[in-house]
Amino acid sequence: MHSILQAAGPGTDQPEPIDIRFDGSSGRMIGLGFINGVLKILTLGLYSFWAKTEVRRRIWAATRLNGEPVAYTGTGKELLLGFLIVFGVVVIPVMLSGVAVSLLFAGSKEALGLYQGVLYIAFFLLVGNAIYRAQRYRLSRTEWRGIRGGLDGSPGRYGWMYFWTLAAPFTAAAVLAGIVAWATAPAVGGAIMLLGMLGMLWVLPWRANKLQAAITNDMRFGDRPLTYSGTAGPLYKRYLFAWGGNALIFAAALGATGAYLMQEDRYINWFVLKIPPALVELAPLAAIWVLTLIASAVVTSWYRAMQMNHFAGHTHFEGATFRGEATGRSLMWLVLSNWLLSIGGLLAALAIGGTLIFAFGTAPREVIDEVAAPDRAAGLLNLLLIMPPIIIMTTLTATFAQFRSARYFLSRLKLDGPVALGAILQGAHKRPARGEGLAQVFDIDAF
Amino acid sequence: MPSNSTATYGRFSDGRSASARDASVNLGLSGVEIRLTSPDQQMIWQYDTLKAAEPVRTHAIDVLLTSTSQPGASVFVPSPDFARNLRLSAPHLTARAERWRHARPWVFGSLAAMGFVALIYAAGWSPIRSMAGVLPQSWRERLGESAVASMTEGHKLCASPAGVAAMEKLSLRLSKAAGASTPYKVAIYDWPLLNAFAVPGGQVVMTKGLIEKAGSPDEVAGVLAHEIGHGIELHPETGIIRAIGLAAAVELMMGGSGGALANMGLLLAQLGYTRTAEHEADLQAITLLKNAAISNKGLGDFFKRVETIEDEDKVTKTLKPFDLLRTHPPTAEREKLVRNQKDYPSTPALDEASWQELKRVCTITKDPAKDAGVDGAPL
Repeated sequence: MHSILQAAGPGTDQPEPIDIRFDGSSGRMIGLGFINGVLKILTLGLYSFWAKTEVRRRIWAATRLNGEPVAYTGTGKELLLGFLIVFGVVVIPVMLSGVAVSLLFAGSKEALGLYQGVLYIAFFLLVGNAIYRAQRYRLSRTEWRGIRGGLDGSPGRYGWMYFWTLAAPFTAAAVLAGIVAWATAPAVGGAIMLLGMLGMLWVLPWRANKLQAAITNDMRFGDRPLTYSGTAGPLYKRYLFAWGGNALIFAAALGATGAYLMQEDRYINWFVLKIPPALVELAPLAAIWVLTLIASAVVTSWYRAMQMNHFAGHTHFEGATFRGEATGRSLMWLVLSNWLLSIGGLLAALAIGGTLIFAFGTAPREVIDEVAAPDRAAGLLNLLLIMPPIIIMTTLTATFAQFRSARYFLSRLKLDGPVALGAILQGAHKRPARGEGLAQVFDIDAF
Repeated sequence: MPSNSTATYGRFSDGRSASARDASVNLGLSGVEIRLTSPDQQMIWQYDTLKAAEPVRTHAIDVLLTSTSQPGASVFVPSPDFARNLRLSAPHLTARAERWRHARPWVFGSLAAMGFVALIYAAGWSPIRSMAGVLPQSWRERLGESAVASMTEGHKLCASPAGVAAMEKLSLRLSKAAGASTPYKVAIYDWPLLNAFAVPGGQVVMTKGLIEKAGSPDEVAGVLAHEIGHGIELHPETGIIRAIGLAAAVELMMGGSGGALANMGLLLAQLGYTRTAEHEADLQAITLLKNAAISNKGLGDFFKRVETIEDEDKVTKTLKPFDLLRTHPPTAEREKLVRNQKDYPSTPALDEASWQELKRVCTITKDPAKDAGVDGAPL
């Protein structure tokens, strides 16, 4: 242990190399995931804020700079408070306004559509804001040798950039398609729209680079800033491959879905006659789309690995530069194995829950209409039997996968060049009091 | 208190800069003793002021400590022995202690909340139903229109004037028996499924499938009486309030990431009424039919019909989604309840001519959107 630590004397200001390592066993995370799942059940889900915090503390502590651990100092209480505030300020008003709109414009599809459109745009405007705030909270709770990280900028500015970099090209494509449709025929406009949407995907590398620059340039460790110097150009060669691959995969998935719907009058039955489909009839569709998402993630891995290396390679701190060592193949295996783990966990949970229902629950029976009453109490019993295995298994696999992803990225991140650690002082930036409410509501807090 | 007399190597940071100094760390009687050299400095962090960067596990190989007595400062001790002994001196740093400390209030809180809910229901008070009772009539009607619009989407309204008049006649007869100030509005939809449901605001939806499969006007009257029974008991209003509350609760419980589950919760809430609610509606139906002097044999016949279809269906059809969460409807029991009622003088629910018109109600259909907001005539 002793040898890992830099044999530096008392508080030297001499620049020294920084060694980044990730030292942790993913096996232990299985036990933690299981315990967290059980505690979530016992507390009706409220423990999830503390569960998330303990997972982060473990991941942060496994990250070693020159042998010394990084500390996560956030608390479950902060996450709970942040969530409760957003729940009161965003979730409850949205639910109530939804009820109000249904009451005021009973059954008017136009009013409901307009309301939902406005809501989607408002949400989309808030997503970037939420990402920034979550990142700011996490960095402010990240310490190494007692020195805090920070994010010193405006969530609003980042949120707006997150919005317009996608909304502007989308609007441009839609307006162009509209004009063409008006000048020629609706079908031509539709084709232009489809092409416009596909072409619009080409803004993604530029957008990712722009957002990365914005957030990295706001980052601080202590009183020292990080800087970003990357441009989007080099990302495009790999992107061509990812874009083409995804286009093929989604075209194939749409084709398969269409072919399946056309068989045995499924389209007519489900969408025209409105006969609800049976579970076994939906299974092939679910399989097609799960496979599509996996294939898409696999194909995109090479681009994502390159993007990660590109981002790292243009991030500088005190004269030193980061270096990413991700490879497409290794990232692909990570993504694929995490997917298989999650699916396997869910199937296992369903098998356990199904067995429990078979043993202790109430057998399923066909119900034709409302006049024939379902028994809610018995339904509740079945729900109580199947939910615990699902909650435990999903918590377990999610914890495990999260740890593996962190290990993947952190063990492939290097810092080239010496840093004068003694010159880095505690920053003066203010610490947000609560964490991440918005990001939790949008479910975009990856770590 | 075990005391580790041999000093252990550690790294001390004062939290003012990112540099660190070598330290010698010792587990003393009352706290962790930290000694720094050049310049010489010694400090003691009391055990109860300690915090660890991560819970100290049995197999921990090192530990990063801070103390509330010296904010900002931290000491890192890369020694498994030190970590193991620290667990004994400062047991509040172990994973088990930390987890229980955080989970305990919520475990007890959840138990108390569940006990409270159980108590309320055991006392026979339904808070949701009380809320449903104070909803203004105009809100109910609008909720009902929204519900009808979303449930019957894509189906046309049956609108042959004579057929609609026949149904109005039947509804008026039963509504009078219910003592309602306005008659229940009944809309028939061109929909082959055998179905009928009550929505908030005294509105009932029936399908063409039900009218066609019914063997007599008394059967239709029985079903309508049952749905009006739901309306009298405010079951639809209660169901909607419960669905909204449940969605909020699920969202809260899932820490906000329960989007999908919230929808599933809504679905479950909308699956239907409880067995108790159905029983209440049946009892209301029996009373209504008697007050309206319509034979309750029709309702019994209808239950029999549903039972037969269920039995046929069981053989031919595969399971539908969520059937797993539904259970055996006690249709046979309900039929028995109706059959056991005493006979009373009755007349057919509709005369033969009106009945024939009702059966042809779907020969003319129209777009339901154009009919929104039509009110029933006051009694």
